[in-house]
Amino acid sequence: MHRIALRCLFLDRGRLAAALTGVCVATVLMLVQAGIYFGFAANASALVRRVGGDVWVVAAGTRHVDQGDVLGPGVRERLESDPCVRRVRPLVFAWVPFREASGAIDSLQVIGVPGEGPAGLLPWSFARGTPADLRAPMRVSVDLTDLDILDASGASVIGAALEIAGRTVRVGALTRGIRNVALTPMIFCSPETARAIVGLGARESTYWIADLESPTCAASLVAAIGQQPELDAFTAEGFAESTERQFLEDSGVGAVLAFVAALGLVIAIVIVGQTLLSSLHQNRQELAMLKVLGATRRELVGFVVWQALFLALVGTGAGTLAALVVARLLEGLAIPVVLPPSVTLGGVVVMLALCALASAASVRAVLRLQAAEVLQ
Amino acid sequence: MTQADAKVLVRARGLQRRFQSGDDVLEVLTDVSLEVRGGELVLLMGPSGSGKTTLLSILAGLMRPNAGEVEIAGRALGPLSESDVTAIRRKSVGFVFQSFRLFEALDARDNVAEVLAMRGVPIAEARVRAAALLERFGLGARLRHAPRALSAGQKQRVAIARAFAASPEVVFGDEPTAALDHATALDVMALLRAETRAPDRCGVVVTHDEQLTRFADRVVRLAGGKIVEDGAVPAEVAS
Repeated sequence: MHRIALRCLFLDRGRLAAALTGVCVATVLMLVQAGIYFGFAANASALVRRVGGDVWVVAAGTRHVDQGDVLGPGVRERLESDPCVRRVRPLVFAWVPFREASGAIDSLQVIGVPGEGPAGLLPWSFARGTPADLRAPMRVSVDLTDLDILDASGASVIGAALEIAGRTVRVGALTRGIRNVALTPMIFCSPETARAIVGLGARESTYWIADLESPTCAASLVAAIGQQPELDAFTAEGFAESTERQFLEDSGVGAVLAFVAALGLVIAIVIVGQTLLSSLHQNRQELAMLKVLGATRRELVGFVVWQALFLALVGTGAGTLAALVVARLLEGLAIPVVLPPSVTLGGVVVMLALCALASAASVRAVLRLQAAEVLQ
Repeated sequence: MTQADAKVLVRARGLQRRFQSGDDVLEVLTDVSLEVRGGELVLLMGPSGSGKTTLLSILAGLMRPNAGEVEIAGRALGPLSESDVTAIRRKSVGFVFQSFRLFEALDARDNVAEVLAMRGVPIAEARVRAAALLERFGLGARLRHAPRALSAGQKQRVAIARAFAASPEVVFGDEPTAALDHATALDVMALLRAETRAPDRCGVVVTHDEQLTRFADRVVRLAGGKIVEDGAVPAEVAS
């Protein structure tokens, strides 16, 4: 039956091409939207995951990394007094105004973290320079995608001046592809430089990150910190997830991405369903003839299933390849797209399931086919 | 062995068939009984609405009668489920229709071969057998032609090859020559006649064309849903 089914599908090549294009486009839409969703999620929590640590101590009410408040020096002392805590690191984070090369005022993120230690190397993707270049006072990194904020270009970028929060800093290094979800510039520097820019005291920080002797005591430390009314604490993974949830769910961005992906799925169902029904309609008398000649219900259903399977496999396969290409192109435009094999495979499975769903009407129609129709 | 000694391949007893439309009941067949033996080609004739096609449908297991019994190749269809009747059609029955019912997407050879493949014959072997049958039917040069590239007569020859490909015991025809010119109709009928001569095979064909009676062994005439005549074709008429 598969030969009859596929040849009938190929008989009208225009319709076949339209159906394959539809499934392909739907697959691209779904996978790219899923990739952007996961890309944004990864981007939103990238700072937390890169900095790592075991427990993040934050100001009470802080739910994502972009909204921290200043914590006093007592917090560090409280953490260092805990026997389970091996090391405490500061992370100074603030949105601050800066003056663009054009003279306009905009805002950026200043992130001050130690550049030493096993998990302390930041930023994580250098285009030019090293962490050591950021240790000098008032040295910052600027991303390659944000060079337009500088009044400099080419070789003169390193050492170029930038006015942030009324203070002049100089570019010590360039990063590649480090941007936040809002595509605002992220400026990395030492905690001391960050405090100087933001105006914090020497022992103040936005976050305190505790590295523990044993990760097993993270839960008890989080609970203990949580007892203090002015503080909250998360495990690093918990804070990363909270940050992702805040951005994707609470902001509605996730819903928009999911809506567009769902739109792709609806398109796929309609196109595949219409193509299968049309093929069935076109060959209705011949299928009735096969029934007359003794084709079983299973064989007749096979006619629809083979066509659906072909559309699903070829359309989804082409769509997956196209989605990977589109993902690369979007990455070039600094739009984060994350398509790990599990997401890609999941998307393919969803598309195959939808094609099966789309064939339901045709299966029902072919099962209702009466052999006596050939006599009409 | 004479035809009278041959096995009965189609037997119908007391067939009745009614169609209901609202409060109206239309009696299409009334107490129809019929036997067709191996080697026989029987024509069902009669005016439009006389019940020919309904009788053919019931004999072929495409429609259930309201009363009466049908046997094909010794098996009564009445007590069987739809899938069992389908299995009997698959094994024992071939069909030829006025409008050919060929798959446009398949060439002549594959239109025949797929029927064999449906019966479990490997496709390579099915194609060889289909090609041999079509060559015997004078279509050796048209094996790879799509139906749209064939004349009406050639299409009907492909349809006949498909009907006989799996060596059924009974071949039913519903106006198989109605769409053909006279010469081609005679040609197609001669082919049907030749293929139904074997003692283990018979044919039942619905037609309006009186000129085709010379190809038949018997002509059964219906009127108003009843058999009004069932007689052998005289030897001087038979071709």
